[in-house]
Amino acid sequence: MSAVMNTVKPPRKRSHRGDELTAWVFVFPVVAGILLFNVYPIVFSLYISFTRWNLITPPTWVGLGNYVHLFTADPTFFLTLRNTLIYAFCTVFIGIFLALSLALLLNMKIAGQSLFRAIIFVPVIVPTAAAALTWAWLYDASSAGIINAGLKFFGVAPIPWLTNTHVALWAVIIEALWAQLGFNSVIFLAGLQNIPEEYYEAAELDGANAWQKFVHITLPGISPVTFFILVTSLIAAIQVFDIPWVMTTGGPANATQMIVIYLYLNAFRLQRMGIATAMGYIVFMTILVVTFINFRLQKHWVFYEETT
Amino acid sequence: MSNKLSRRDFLKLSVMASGAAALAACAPNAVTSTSAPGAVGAKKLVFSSYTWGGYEDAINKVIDSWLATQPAGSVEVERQYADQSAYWEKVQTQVAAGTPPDCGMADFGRLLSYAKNGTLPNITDMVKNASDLSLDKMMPGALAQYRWKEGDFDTGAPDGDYYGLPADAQAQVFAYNKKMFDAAGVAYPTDDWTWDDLREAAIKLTDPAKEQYGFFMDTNEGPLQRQYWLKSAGASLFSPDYKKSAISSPATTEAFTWLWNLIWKDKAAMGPIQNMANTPFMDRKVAMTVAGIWWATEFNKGLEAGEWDAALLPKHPKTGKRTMTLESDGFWVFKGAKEPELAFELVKYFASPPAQQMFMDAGYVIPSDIPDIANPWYAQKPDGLVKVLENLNTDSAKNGYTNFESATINSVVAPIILTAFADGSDIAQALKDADAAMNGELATAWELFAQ
Amino acid sequence: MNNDFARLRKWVMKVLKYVLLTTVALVVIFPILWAISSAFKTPQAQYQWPPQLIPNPIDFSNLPKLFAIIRMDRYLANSSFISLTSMVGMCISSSMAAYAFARLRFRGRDFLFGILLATLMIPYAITMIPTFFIFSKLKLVDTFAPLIVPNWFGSAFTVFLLRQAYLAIPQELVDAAKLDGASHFHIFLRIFVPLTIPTMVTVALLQFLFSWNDLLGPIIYLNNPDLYTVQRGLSMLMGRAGTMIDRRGIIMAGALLGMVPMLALYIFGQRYFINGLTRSGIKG
Repeated sequence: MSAVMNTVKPPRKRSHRGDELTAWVFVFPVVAGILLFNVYPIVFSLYISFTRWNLITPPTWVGLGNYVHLFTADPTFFLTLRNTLIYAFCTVFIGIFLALSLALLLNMKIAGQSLFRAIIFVPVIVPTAAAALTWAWLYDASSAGIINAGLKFFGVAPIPWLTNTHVALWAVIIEALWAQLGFNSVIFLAGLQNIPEEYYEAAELDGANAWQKFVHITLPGISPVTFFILVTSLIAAIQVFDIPWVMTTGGPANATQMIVIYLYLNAFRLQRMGIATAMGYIVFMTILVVTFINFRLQKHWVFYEETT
Repeated sequence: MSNKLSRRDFLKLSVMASGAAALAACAPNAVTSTSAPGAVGAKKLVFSSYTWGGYEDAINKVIDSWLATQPAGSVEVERQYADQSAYWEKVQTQVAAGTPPDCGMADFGRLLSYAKNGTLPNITDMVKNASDLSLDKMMPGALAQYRWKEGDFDTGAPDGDYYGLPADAQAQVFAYNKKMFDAAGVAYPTDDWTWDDLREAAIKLTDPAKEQYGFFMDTNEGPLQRQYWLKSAGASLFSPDYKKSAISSPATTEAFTWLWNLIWKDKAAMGPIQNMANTPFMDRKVAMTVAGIWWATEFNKGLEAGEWDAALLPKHPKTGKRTMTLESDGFWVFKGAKEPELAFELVKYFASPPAQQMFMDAGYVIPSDIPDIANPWYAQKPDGLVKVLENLNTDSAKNGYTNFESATINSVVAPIILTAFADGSDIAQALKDADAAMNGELATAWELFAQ
Repeated sequence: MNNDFARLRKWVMKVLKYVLLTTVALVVIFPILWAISSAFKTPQAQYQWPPQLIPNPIDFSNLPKLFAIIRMDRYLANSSFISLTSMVGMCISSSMAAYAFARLRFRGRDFLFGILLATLMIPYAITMIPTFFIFSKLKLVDTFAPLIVPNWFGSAFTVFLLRQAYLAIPQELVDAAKLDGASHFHIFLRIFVPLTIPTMVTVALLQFLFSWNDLLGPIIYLNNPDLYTVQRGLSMLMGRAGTMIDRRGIIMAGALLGMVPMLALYIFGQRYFINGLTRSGIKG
């Protein structure tokens, strides 16, 4: 026995040192990516956000000037902040409600569940530009737009979906809900299917009705999934770009202008790199705050399975 | 032993990987060079422009014909084209990187800033000394937008220096749909029409059942950017010295309110539409419209022959004016061009009769700035197009949207006014708010100007 | 009597659920059906009242007209090239890193993995401009490089997915291979990769989808229309290119053409998309 151990030991020691080197080789691209595309940008963005820079002349230091400007002298910025937050909270919370409802519906043992699931997932894979072009036509203000055509059929006056400043934001929200419904539903469905059947059976034995089962078993059971969707959806929604860009270009009159679109315009159309990076940092801080709040609140409503 | 094997395998893979990455990086790049191979020692010019549709072909034709006037093989022209929406970002990046093209398409909105910060050289001497340039044959409004006097907040000084040359002159056309007029029994617009006549006709031509409106004018482009509507009313967005806003002045308020009333009180005009301008007329949804003259070709394509015609812009009832604003696409030379005189020669060629003729023959709606070339263009169908030329000759002004920081100012002020047009909300309040915003923006702009 | 009533109620509920689900599915799929329908309508039919769902007559001319206005063939080729090369790069770099995080012991491994996950929090709003600056200095703007190269450096999400899969592989297989004297690279390539093909396909498809649907990248980096991707080309249809007469059918033909490749990919790999998501979602 010990003779075998003796012959085996030296190779293991060599492979342990080789382990380290091989590991770094394997991990190198990802590490380089982190440094190049994450660490460097964070530092560089921070530096530029304290300067005024137009890419032509060297950056000039302005300290907190850009941030002050954004919060005191830039009405469009506040508008984009407002639009983005309304968009984010509406799409995320309404989206979660809709997706959970749909997942509950799908979870009933019915034939064709996978077909339904496949169909509702389609909007997720449709390119946003193609979807936005289609929806812009659906939203047409005349009765050629099929939504207004439907309203006309019921005797309702056509709604100026994309030309009224109050309605336009909702038009974008509705399209976003459509595009994301399948994604969240599928994840919720998986979470629902993960709840052990025994819990429900035990509850039935105790005389619980459907509502009580829902509130005391289903909701806590999927709360980790809900949490995951909440956090990731908020982070993505705060940075929305595609749909408002293609469908309304931030219009009408900035009604659908979002933070990242405004950031892009500042950087690449107006060459105001300092302002743009300052906005980027404000987005970053917003995301951190929102996520932190979520993580803090999770102990009140998220129940993790005890790992056995 | 095993380590050596792993390292060799890894090496193979990394070579493959970096090869593929390198391949990706070397994939087709920007330059679509269509120049003929030049002789050794040929001078090289880099020319850039935005394109759409078949405009690129038309430009290439002009450049090729210019090359034919140069000694064979002495010049090569590298051409860089980009889509209209992306073009200016590309140019900004090139200028920032210190590698601008030698010459290219100009932009009246950027001329002042570029002249001020040294991106464009002062070409006045070259212009004055050019014996084959007939400045007197060009429309004054077009030339004006390429002249700037140092210290001025706007372009157009009659004694300003030249920073580019115009290649066309575009104005507005007042178009109406004859079929709709006939169907509603309304008489066609005459030369004596005023805004009141326009309003009366619009009300008669509006038919909610058919979802048809009497009139449409893009509220952003007309009153706010090009400002022809305001100029006809003797109104303006700025005080003459550009130090204060004039939005709440009686004339300006009246002009904006007139249009707003037509849309929201009389419900006889279509409100703002998203993205595109002037398609309602093409879609036969409105009976009258004021559009950029370049829309005329589209109207010709979509509407039947004889279905539409052009007329003189209706006059303002009080001032009697019908001002068209002239804007001109043109070309300029960039500072740092290695061959500035040669670059100027190309720019000058674009502004000359042979090039103008080529653009016109290619079907580009670029009515030339030289009357000899312009007349045949304005003589095309429908007959009323010639009225545009008449209007231009009697009452035209330089385009708005050319002053310092106009894009930034516009981006803040325009949405305030446009919201009232889009929603039908209180226009008087919107104008007051816009007035305040304008004063703020002007103050900031003047600070920047002083630097 | 009670029993019958309960059974009737159950049956009614079931029918109700089917009706509801079918309605939802129809509503969800409707925009795509409308795009198909509009793409084959004559200009007059677009504005007709009442609107037709099935165009009659069927107009096939919108597609050729579309190609005359924007170079969709070019864009399809460009998008395919970019998506394919990005996909390959992402798979290689992420799987290698995932293997290291799952199976190799090295100093700072868990700390590094934590940092990697933390990068998920960094918004692209922050990384957008500096990354542009890098590529601008390298004179790679207006090429495909900025859209492909970053994917050769892996991503947190895909590394996470693959690491999950690699963790599930039994240690005995690894030990057996090591006893045979196999190198880590050998183990990785000959054991781990073949055993986790489904996850790898998920990663590949997700990256392909992500690259294909990317809009902001092409907007920032591509100026020359010859290099445009499908998404970028389509976004032009909302601008000036989309203002010509009788444009509706042409725009909708464009939208449809933009959807078709992804729909085809989806029909082929649907379970990979969905499984990949559910696996990452429930682990949270």
